[in-house]
Amino acid sequence: MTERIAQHPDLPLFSSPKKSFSFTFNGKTIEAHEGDTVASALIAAGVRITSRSFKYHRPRGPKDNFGQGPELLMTVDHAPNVRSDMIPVRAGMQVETQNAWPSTQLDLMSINNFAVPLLPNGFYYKMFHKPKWLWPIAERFIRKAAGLGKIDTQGRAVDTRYEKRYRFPDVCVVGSGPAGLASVKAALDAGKQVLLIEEQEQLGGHSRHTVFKVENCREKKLNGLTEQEAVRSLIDEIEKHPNLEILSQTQAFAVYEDNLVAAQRGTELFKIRAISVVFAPGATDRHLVFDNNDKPGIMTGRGVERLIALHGIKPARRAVVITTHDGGYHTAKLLHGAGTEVLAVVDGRQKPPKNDWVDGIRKLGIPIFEGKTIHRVKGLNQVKKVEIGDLHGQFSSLSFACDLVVLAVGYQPQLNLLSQGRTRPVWDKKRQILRVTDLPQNIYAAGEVQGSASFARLYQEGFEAGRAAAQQSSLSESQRDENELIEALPADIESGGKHHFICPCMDVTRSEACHSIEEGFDQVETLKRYSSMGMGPCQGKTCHEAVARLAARDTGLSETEAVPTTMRPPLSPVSFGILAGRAPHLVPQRRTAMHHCHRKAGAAFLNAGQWKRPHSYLPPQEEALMVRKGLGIIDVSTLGKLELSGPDVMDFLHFMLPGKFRQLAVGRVRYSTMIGEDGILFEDGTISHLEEGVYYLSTTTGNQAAIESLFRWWVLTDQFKVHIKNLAPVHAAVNVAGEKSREFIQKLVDIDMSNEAFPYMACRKSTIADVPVLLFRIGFTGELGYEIHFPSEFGAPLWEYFLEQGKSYPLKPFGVETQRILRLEKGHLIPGVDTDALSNPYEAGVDFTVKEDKENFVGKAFLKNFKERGIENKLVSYKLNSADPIPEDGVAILKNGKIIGRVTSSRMSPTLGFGIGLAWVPRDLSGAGSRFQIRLANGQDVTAETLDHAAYDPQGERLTS
Amino acid sequence: MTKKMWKQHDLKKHYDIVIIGGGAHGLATAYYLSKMGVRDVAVLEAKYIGYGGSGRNTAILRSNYRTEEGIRFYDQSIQLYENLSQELDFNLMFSQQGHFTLGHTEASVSGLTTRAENNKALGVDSYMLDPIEIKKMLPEIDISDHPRYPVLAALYHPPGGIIRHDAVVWGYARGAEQGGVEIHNLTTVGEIRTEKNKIKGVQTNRGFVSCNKLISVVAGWSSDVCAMAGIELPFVTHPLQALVTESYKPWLHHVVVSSNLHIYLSQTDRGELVCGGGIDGYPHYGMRSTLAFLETYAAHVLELFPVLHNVKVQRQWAGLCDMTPDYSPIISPIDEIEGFYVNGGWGTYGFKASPASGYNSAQMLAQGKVPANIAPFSYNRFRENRLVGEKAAASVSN
Repeated sequence: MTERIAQHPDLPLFSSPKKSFSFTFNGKTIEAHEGDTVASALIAAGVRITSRSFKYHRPRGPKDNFGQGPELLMTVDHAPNVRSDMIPVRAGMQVETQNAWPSTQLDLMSINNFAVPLLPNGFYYKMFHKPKWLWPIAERFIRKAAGLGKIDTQGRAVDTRYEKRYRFPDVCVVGSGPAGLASVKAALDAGKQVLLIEEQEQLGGHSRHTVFKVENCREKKLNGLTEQEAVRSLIDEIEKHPNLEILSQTQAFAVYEDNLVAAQRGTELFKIRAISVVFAPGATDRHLVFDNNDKPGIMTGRGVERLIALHGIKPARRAVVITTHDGGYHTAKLLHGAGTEVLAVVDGRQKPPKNDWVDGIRKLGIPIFEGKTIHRVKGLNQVKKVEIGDLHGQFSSLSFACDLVVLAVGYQPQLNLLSQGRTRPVWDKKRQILRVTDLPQNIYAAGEVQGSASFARLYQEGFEAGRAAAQQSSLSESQRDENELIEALPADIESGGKHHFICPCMDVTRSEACHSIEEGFDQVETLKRYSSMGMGPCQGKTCHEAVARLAARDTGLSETEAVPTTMRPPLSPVSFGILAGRAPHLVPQRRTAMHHCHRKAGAAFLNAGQWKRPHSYLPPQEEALMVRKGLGIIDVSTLGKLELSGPDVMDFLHFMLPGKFRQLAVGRVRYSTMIGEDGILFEDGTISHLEEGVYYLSTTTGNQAAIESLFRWWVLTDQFKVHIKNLAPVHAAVNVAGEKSREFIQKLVDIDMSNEAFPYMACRKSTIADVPVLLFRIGFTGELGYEIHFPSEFGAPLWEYFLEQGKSYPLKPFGVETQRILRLEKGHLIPGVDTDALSNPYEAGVDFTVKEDKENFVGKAFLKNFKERGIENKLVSYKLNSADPIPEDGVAILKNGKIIGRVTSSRMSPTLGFGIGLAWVPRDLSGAGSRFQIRLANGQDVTAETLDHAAYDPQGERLTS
Repeated sequence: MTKKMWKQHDLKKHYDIVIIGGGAHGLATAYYLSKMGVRDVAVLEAKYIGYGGSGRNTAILRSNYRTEEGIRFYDQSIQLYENLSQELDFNLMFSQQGHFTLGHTEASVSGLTTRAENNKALGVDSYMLDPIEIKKMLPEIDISDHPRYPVLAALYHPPGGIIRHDAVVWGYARGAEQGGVEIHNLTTVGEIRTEKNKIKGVQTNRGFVSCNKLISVVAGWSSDVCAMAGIELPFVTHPLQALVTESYKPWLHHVVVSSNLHIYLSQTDRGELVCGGGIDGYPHYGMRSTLAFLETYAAHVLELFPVLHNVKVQRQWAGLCDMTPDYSPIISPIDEIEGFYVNGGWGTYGFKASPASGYNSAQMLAQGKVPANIAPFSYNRFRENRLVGEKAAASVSN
């Protein structure tokens, strides 16, 4: 029976909370006190079964109240799997238990005690697969029973605002117990900027609930105080220091390469780059394996102390304390003071030392049993009785009827952060703990994580680590006194019975582990994977020591071989929301300078690389006819635009591009492909000779950034003296296309636009409305057309100006989809759309851009190979009969049921009135007039005819006239 | 008395065939060799069976590849997988729950359409779905135009699914041992010996072992192992990261892959979401995880499923991928050294290939002839510049 206490004789700092409020638990109203966690409020209200185990649905209850295991996972305000012992309770919270039906108190899914011994070891690998039809049915049931919390598919808090924060302290200290606080003090004394991270709301670590007297501490003024008072005094001393930032309720969950520390607080992710990091994360009570070792009513020493000292809860009516060190007497004293009747302290030591704590317990009349330990617990849904006896579990001698068993049998260091994917801990025989000793440079560890016990030792180690961290100097291994050693009990008290849970999270018993080993899983890694020990919600934090020690015992591996498996980040789960943050890690969305003009004009948009581009303003078929018959304008600002100059510019172009450009006169433009080192066509564009020695290269939208970095990479690699200026962000561009485009532009410029003065594939500089412009007589649409590039700050005004000036034609905007139709009528390919990772320029029909007789250039060797091999497949233009449906982009070309090619782009031609497209076909079908079958997605076949040239204006008369 | 799945053996001085690498591929090779009656075989594993990619992958199976070579090969693999639980008498928990590849750009939709049509033509069940149909099967997916790259379509592949990857390793290992093959854990090969361009054997930490045939099946470590024989491979090893979430009530009953967001996820029978992404952009043999992976993955998965914002990552890890220039493996004899074979270059798509890889490798070793299904995956194709076209499909290939 639990109840609240008003005062406690042994805890001078204890004061009962002033305020109380209520929240709901499975629909019932529960009272909470200020300072409660969700779990402590539930425990105070008498809730004993807080969850059901993963596999067998055994009842589980609070243990350490410190966020270690899954026993206190609950759904809080619809968020699943919340560690209810780690979050403060708030008025009105809705808390629900998980994975039990109909309720946690009475779970009909429980296959508990009776069935466990009947299931063969690794039963899931040995059942349900014969006959074959059984498994899909069995799986449906397994999936129904599996899983803990429910994902909130309604997405109730989906608009939660997550933030990312960055810190760059000199020294980052993780943990604020005595060692952490001493580290902070030492680093502050050395003049450093310090960041202190503490998982709990209050600083102080386990000392907050500890009243051992401080003795022999290097910080003299702390001697004689209780630990509670000592940490309070330390906190008061440093708290206000201007060089210290404290992040409480913050959990450092990972350490990555280069000592990047990641931490979470509420909805925030902290990324911390410190010069040095001190880890003082402490330790938790050791997990002990015995019969029925995972029952509601079995708690750890520190778990009980937290309830009493931090939350004012008398945790039980009658308790038995199992211990191997003075800490158990401390817990017993606090229990006694809280009004719990302590029936016995069972001490594993043959001869407990004579000191105030042991004597104090004796004086209270509490019997002490020496050289004894726990053998088993009895009770169906919670502890009813405990049996004790010798250390190895052979002879049970005594039993007590009680409702609480306290396990205070030593500590296991919180090693995850020190180990994390980097190194595995080793068993330190002298200190009787697992340790990580080989730390990376500028990482330090201090305190209980090293197996230290007394306040003075924790302080000393913390202080030294803090000082070393400030100086980035090495830290020598601290020595240990004999009396600090807490001897580990046997990892399993072999007292018989079937329910020795090594891994309570995954319901793995000792006998299951033994059977796995017998089956051949005799290495810790394979044992873990086969039995799934350590793979549950606590990720081995509870059981890794027990697993390793039992593996050593049961496999015959030595203690150094049977070390736990690699510990992985994160230390505790971290949500996708926190990791994603508010600014998604996606490519930024880019818009052109004319974007809002397009929006106003009612354009539909599509994604083109990082850009949003107008898909079309009117139905694309209509727009296409408008360009063919009148005049259109398209925003092509998204093209890549590089200006290249410098002494080596011609050598560089010759090296990077497959063509020859020495003869390219000023004012002329040439089409070029780009070929990879593997001889594959991956890009195309135009190269314009703007002025003597200055070239302007346009590339496709999608490859803009990639081409720039590729060029810069080669400039650096081969030491070309070339200047690369990326003008894409500062140049807007449009293309004006249509028969009347010359006439229209002539009205706007004062240069001669005639065919003789400004022929096809030429470029000129001019001004339009006083804005300097570059004019290129090129186009993608097959009509007479001009590309106009100009500073993007004039993007919107010039766009509006063009439309205004062109009103009489009329000049209308057209979108990307329309351009795709137009270019397809003209048979122009788009790299990456009509080509893929196997397309070479010969087969793609752009071999006119390749001059193999040139000196060395990128891709030359492979091009030679492709040329020698000859054409095997070819990219061709095709047309369909006018009544045929239009194939989907990407569909297959078949011959006698065999795939022989594919359609890359396919549209209805509004100009011609039949379907057209580009397709890869075998060489023998690439000649004009060849016919082939295209298989539509619905299974229908249509016959296509290969065209010699483009479907529209095959001779290109409209471009050149 | 518990039955042992495998035994510890003394290392003999000679075996007919030595397989370097105790992953799913090496063990499958050993298993199928034993079924073909070739029993004088040793599998040498430097760590423990399943240490590498076999234990680190995300266990997704599918055969909806793009090229005829890829489709035929992976279809054979899926067919072997479909009966493997019964054949090995070990429940591999193959859950054929259906596999989505989402397309978010027109170019990727075109590529997915090619795959769908090529699959259909070769008898593999695969077809395109529009966003409304996708939403029916994945109710929590965001098909609005709110995401950076909205969902435009999906390639759906009903036979695709997930499997218990470790079980595949153990099932094959047990089957191979029952067939008389020896598996040697903690046995490191330090040297490959040849004589007159013929394989002699391997020097291990447990002594020299001679053999008639040697095959390297070590995936991410292929370049290192083959370098011992003086063979250079066109492989570059990159890390690939993955994560699992905590366990939740099963909510996602299909494999979901996004080709443009470079992520994939599925939910196991234990309730964990198993998640992965693209390879790390740098060649590396290190297997440490990064925060950047978690952040990017999280941002991308929330684009698809915003309701996952409070779902928590429980564990992250990394494995190694031996990438080839054409995203297709090498399963091939090596002409320079008689009796030396390579099985590698599995990139990010190795686990799903295990049965077909093992089966064809075993045939190649047992009969000395290269079976038709793996003929396209020859070592010499890189000399002849005749690459397989899977790279075109492999923006994210899980």
